[in-house]
Amino acid sequence: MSRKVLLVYAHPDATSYSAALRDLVMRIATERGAEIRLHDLYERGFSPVLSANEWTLRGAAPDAKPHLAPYFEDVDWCDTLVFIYPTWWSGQPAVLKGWIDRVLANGVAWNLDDTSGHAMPALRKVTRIVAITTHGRSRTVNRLCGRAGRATIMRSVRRLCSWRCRARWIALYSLDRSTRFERDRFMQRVERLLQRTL
Amino acid sequence: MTALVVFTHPKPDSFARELLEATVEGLTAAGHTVTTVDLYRDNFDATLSREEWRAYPTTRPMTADERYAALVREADVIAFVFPMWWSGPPSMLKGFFDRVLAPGVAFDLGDTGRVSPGLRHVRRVAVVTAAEPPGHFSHRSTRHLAHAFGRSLRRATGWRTRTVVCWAGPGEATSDDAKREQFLARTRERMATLR
Repeated sequence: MSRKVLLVYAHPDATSYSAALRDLVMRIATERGAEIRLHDLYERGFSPVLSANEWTLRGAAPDAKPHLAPYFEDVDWCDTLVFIYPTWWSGQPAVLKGWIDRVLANGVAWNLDDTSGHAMPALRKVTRIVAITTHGRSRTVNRLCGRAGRATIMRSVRRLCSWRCRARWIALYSLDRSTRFERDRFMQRVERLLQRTL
Repeated sequence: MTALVVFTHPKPDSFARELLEATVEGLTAAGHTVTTVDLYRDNFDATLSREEWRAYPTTRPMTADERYAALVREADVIAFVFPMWWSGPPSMLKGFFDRVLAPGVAFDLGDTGRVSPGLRHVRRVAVVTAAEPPGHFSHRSTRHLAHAFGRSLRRATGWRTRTVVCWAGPGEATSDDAKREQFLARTRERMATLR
């Protein structure tokens, strides 16, 4: 069965290392015979801000937000979520955090249970999550500053998916001082991970 | 003493607004001159642009908003009031970090790429937040993440700054008025101790 991959990518610069990672993921996914859809948030000019109107509609059905319908459809379609982003201030760039805030909405990623008031997971089809990120600074500095961005994906998004969902987190540290060798080696790690996952 | 309160919530009449008021009252009682920044009211643009990203490592970095940057530069205490969404701050607040806390404001990048802290004057970082919907995760792990949010500033403040967290658990942020009041009072007291 071929995988249906939704790749969510956020980086302002098309010549960046993250863009190279995106191309790598696209290539491997195609080689493995997976179907792939790309949300290039910067290219699409995605607005990260959850408006007051959307806040009011947070418990409403997805039909109430027609402007997000293409995003909802892709999330509903996929069984594999791949995130590629640079880590800034311990977390996702605002535009990606905005995608998570706005697109993972009621009726799409979770259903509000009326009796308990709990948000029940609705991404039951999603059985793989891969997060690929780069940090400017070292692993130690990132540990000391907390890893809030990791929790957003590995804890909050993971929880919405299938109970047997495998979530993988792969990060390149000290990108600012990295050598060509280290960057290439990380590419190979990503490639191996995707060969196993997709 | 100067305190900067960064407020993020899409709705002007939410519980977060009451939290904001409690925070401001507390900080005023502690003797601070308080300035509030309301990112939604200011229609802050949260997306870091390509030009800003390219200017990041250069000697002439860009700051999104000079007024915000000036407020950050003179703050002794920075307090963030926001709802916790998906284990983290709303995208709007994340955009404030990405764009306003740029080189030249929050830190300086030397020629060698070494980061030198730019927020040494900030002595306390306060995080005032209400929890995610009930039934998600344990109280402990969510409180831990509220701490982690404040600690992400540690490198920029030179590791010395203490993070103070006022976190309302699911039971406190939902419908029960008495519990809300209790939490607001606690926030006010806690903020009044920040000197």
